[in-house]
Amino acid sequence: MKGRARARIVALASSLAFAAIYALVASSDPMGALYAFFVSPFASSYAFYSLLESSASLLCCALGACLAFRAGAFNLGGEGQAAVGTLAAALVALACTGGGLSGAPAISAAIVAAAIAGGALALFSAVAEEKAGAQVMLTSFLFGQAAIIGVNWAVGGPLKDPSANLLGMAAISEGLRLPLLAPPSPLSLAFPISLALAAAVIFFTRGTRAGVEQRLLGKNRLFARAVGISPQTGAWSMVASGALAGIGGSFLVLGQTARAVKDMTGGIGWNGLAVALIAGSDGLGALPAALFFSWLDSGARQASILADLSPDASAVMKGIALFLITAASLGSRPRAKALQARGKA
Amino acid sequence: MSPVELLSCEGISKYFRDTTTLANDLIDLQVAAGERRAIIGENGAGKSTLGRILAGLAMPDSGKIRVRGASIESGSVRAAEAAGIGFVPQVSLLAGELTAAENIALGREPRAMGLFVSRRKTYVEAALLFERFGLSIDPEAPVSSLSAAERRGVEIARALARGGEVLILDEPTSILSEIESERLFGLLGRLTEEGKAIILITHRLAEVRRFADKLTVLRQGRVVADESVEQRSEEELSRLMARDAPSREAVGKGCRPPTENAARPCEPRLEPMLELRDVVLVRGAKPLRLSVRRGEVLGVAALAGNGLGRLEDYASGLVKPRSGELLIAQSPLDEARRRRLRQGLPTRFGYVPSDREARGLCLHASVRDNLLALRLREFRGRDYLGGRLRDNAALEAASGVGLVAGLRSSVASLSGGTRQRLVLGRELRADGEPGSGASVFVLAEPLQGLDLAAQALVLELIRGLADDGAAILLLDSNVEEIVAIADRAAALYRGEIAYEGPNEGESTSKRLMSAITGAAGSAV
Repeated sequence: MKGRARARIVALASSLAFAAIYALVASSDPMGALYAFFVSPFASSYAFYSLLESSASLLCCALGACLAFRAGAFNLGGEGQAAVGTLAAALVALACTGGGLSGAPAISAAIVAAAIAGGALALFSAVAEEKAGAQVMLTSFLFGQAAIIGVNWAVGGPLKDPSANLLGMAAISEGLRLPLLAPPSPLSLAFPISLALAAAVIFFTRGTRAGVEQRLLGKNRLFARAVGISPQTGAWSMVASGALAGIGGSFLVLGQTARAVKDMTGGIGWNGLAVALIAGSDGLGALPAALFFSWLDSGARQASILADLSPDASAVMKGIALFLITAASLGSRPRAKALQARGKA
Repeated sequence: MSPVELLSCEGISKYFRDTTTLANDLIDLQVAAGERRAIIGENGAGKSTLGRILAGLAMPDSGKIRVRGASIESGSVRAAEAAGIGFVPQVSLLAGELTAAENIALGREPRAMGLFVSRRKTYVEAALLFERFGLSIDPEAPVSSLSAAERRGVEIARALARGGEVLILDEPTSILSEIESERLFGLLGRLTEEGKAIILITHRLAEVRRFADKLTVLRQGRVVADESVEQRSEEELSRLMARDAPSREAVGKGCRPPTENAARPCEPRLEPMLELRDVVLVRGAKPLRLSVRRGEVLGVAALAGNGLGRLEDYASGLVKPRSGELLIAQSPLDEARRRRLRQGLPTRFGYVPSDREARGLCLHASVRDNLLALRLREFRGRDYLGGRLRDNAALEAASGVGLVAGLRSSVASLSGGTRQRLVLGRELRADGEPGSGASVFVLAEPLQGLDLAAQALVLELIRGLADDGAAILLLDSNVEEIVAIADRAAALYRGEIAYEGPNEGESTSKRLMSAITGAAGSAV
């Protein structure tokens, strides 16, 4: 385990080095690009709070992925689950606005609706596996992609705000937005909520019977069945995973954007998978990993504004990081296999 | 260098950081062409580690390996195979989804026109190989459908197909019956006559006497004897192997400690606790009925392919029989009830699977989590956070079977025998819910991989459980193990009960041997 952690840290450091090289090569102002990339996200409280805010949704999706991975379910539908979360949160928020509701109860209702929507989408995959033996990895991806198409159609079609000049639903009222913690920065209650969720996931995985059962199930299904661990542990993990992704989606709607727009999730589901991979499916590792990814995002954005780096730089850098992390994870697998087969006298 | 020396190693050392074990400590070994070498030692003595190092599956910390005087690269399976070292591991490394022939050809598939994989050649070569070594295995059968003995045969054929001049076999008979073991030794004998060297890793002294002419005794990773087999008595050998030598009785027939209970009369007392009604084990076989009463050990023996594995599937409740049913404590066992029983509610339902690594252990979880997997409900939230209570419970379970391992260590880092102790430590608990007083155990090959002292301990534990009222179904390919402990013994042949009767010691052993081969012809 120590070896794997070391491999991940080396991969992270390498990805930063690659990011620096990329900034040096791709920018006409290499030193400015490096400064903008590495230092700007921390240079002002506004920039730093923006980084924290953007990590909130990502952290939720990553926590969801961690839970699914721990149970041995490869939930590739985080993006779709986050998308249905945005739609559900927006619908409930707008309904509350229409009903005259606002404040904590209405915001909570919107978040809960997003969790239910994301969880329900994940449940389809769990049920398909339980009833028909369909692989979660495939079904979650397919259901997720279908959901994204559906959400985009709804947001840009029948639910579109006719008065607005963008493909999105109507804006939600001020009283239904997550309270800002450090105005004028976008840092909202989403970040502490995501921290609380991370704490809950860490507690669940390390300090509960269900967490132990989930881990055993994820590592050896046959063994788990033989010792009487219910396969529903896996199904519930999927539902929780989808719910967390849905909550991540709701933060996008209830935050600064304050409305559901087309393609709103922008890859947080996929990035959540990468974060979970970096974190080794551990809730505790997910927090720094999510912050790292947000830093890459924020740094690239700053570099594109301040030092003419391409706006796509963030995607390239995240891709490099993901590639290196995956390589590090795969690199440690043969040793794990060798350990598995070891039978010393 | 001796002119006939085939394999030698010098100063091999290996330290496992995970378990802080010095598994091999400066080991020297020389093996000549045509030699039958046994490497013996207790569980955890470092036998398998040495075998794996020689086969390139593990990297030694120090030392050199030479084949015909030429040094070979350490830690490389390819280099070892190229030098003619074949390895048959204790835990099968075959790909279950592939056929026997595909497994043999894996990585060096015969080509048609030098380009495409030739399925025909793959199967023909495998069939010829099986025929040459007298193995009756269908090359087209998926490995997952083969019995343990057949899988072992495929492993041997695979090693030989790669030009194995030195064949290392790690506990090859651990789940084979006497007859299957005899066949295996016959095959190995023929190979040595062809000039191949065989290294047999075992702790069964009877096998050493039966097969080997030279032996190396390992104790705590060190060579404590390297000599010809005739030089020592079994008692001396067992004393050499162990720090605390087992008693004369425990040595018995090599590894089978006969117990005082061997010929206990069958007492048809109390109600049946485990019943299989009208289940069909092998296609075309008559439906089978079998029951185990409270306080009774029923031992069932069979050769590979005669339905013992299927019987284990059904009796453990993991596979629902197509026809017939399984009753535990006189109630049908469905999946939900099986799960409750496995967690000890209200009847304790212990199960030691023959496939230890797949069903019996979660290899990449800790020793503690594996030991307590059936007792998770006993602990409260704070126990999961603190862990001290769980540690104590795990230590208690470990001490019951003499398991010595770090509670936080990964099970994957444990030796075969230690893994078996772990499974037994978890499963052989008598107490169910207070007041229930009833326990049912399905034990498949419970002594596999255990050294003499551990076998004696486990047999004593099983007997103790039965004396406390547990119903125990013992499924074992080894007749002697059944005779050593069972109250009643049965033999399966082609999926049907070919013999059933009280255990009367030696005479039952003979009846069982004859029944499992189909020689008895007197189905009950």
